Amino acid sequence: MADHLISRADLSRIEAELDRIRANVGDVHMEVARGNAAVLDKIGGFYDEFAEFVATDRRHKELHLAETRVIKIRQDIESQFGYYGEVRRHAVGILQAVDHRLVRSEVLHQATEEMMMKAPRYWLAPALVALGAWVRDDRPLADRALSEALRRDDYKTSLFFALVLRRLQRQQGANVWLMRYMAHQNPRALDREFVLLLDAVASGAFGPGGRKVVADHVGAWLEDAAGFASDQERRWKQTLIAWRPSMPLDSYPLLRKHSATWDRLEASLASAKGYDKVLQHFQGIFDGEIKLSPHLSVEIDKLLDSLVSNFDDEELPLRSQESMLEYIIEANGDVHTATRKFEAGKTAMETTSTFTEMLTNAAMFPDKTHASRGTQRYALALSRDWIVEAHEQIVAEARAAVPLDIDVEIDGWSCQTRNGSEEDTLLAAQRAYYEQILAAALLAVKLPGFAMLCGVVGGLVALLGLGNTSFVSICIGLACIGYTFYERNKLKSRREAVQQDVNGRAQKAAEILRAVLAEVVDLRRELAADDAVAEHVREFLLDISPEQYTRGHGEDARAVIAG
Amino acid sequence: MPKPLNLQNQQAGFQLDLTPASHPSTGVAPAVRLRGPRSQAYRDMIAKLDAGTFATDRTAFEQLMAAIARELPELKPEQLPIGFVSRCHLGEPYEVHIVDLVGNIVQHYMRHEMMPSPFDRARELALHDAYCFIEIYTDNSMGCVRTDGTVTRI
Repeated sequence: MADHLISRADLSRIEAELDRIRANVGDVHMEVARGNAAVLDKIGGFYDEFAEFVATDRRHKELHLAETRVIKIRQDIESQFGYYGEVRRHAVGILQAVDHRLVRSEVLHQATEEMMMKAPRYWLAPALVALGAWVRDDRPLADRALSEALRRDDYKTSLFFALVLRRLQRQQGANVWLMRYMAHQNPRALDREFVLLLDAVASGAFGPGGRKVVADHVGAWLEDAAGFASDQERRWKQTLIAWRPSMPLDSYPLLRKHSATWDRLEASLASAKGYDKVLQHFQGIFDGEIKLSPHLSVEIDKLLDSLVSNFDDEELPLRSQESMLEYIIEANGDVHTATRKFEAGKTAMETTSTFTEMLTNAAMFPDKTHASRGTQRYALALSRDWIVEAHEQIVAEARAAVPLDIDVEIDGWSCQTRNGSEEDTLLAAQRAYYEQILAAALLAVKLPGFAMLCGVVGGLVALLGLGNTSFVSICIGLACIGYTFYERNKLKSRREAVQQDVNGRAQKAAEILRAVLAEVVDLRRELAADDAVAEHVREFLLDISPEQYTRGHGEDARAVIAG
Repeated sequence: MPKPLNLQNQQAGFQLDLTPASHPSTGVAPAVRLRGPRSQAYRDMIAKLDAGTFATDRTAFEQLMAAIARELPELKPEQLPIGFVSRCHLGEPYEVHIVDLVGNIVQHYMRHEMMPSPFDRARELALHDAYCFIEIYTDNSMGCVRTDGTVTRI
């Protein structure tokens, strides 16, 4: 077998090609790695865009669904309770017709009888029959209709006739109905329409006798509910805290960076900023005059409209669904935000509540409880002590949490300041700190051991060389000595560099310290100014009294004068 | 015009029930009394408490405890305050002082000097101008007493 000799030149070519291939593979590998990173980035970007698209699409779908469903809910309300609307319109219509004597008795009789047939379970239908019978002086029919109305809904019927008789200036009768209504109320389970009574007191719908009846009962209920005041105080505390603004992220940048106490300071500032919001909120409610009509009948018609339109519990489930869908539409399909708002106002739509809950609901959610601005003021005035207590607790807790001393740390040096006035003392302490650092740093600047050894050995070698007349030894010795002198000369510049560095740090640290102390002064001033607003809130609230928001009507004064 | 509606007319056979419904009272919880305003005499007495230990003046201590019990008569002994914290009027370097009713002692504290628990939580409040002194209770709650006597419990 012949041995094949392979030319070295061929192998070298092969080796070179292999190297080239290896290099190309390496390049490709790097390209692939770069490409992978780019692809991952793109995929990450696509995922974020896709997630946002899905969230937006979901919101749009929820919005569209809510808009469709709310139409259906309103149609259901109309179909199931639409006839109630017809009966309701007749209530005020009958009264206005009686005012102006524009409708014949027979027409009134026929209209009210039709309503009985159209609204079989509705309390207002027999109440209107009783009203029509009374106008026609048909006592037996009035009695039968009244019995039926009271059977269907005792409280609404009583309140209805209290208002109607008041409207028709039948003071004694109105007071009897009102006393009956109030005497039968359970302050721990009031129906929603009770807020209308507060409305009537706030708007002057009741005469002096009626207002006294209400005031006596309300006063007794509040006294009895004193043990449950903490529940309402807790609700008010949650609400007042929720009004706090968030702090801007760029405030007090040096304290943020150099103080471990910053988180507590920031929390204290945020608490104090809330007091102004609280003051503005309540001032906004109590600002401005509420204009009432000079005609008592106009005010009572509004109350009657509200009584017959807004407080029927049969409709409540559908109205509750409608409310939730309206929140979703308002939030542009954001179901979480809508649910949060709905849950916050849900208690205001419960069928019964305690008197204290009702006052808080009327004060916090007047739109949900159908309370007028005047009623909101009256409810706030009655709730005043709970609000003051909640506010005082928030303020006391915030004041207890304000740090008395503020920790500061700059470049490894730490100190405490109370109000930023200790500048001289702290600067002196800081200087002493850097003097210590400088002293220690300068001590560390010395001839390296090797250089010293070179000097000693070089000297010995040079001497030996002189003794032996060895030129080489002398040169080596001199070179070593020369190295030692070179290192020694460098010491001075090294010391100067250390001094410059430490002095630079000290100067910068002193500037930072001055700026931090200035921020402390500003912060304490800001905290004190915001804290002072808490006292204004307290004074404003304590100035409110329920008597200021229960009013008589001009017609009462004219009746007294005429009498 | 129609006749007035006589709701009490028995001849008509319709009776309007005017009997008030009965709803038993809930009673007042003890926490309410702790928030009640403090009398001027009580506030003056706390404000006058100064250096010294009740250990050396047993009579003064007993008078103080009797005055506190008179101020809060509805409370049981274990519900009464265990001490007070207020601004110290001795001047620099003293800042606050505590009246410890359990240890029968009045103690003054300088700035940066640590105070014992549970009195330490009241330091910032005691130094605030809105409050004349802070009551300390066994459940770690505090009563912040204002110059007008109103109390906020936290």
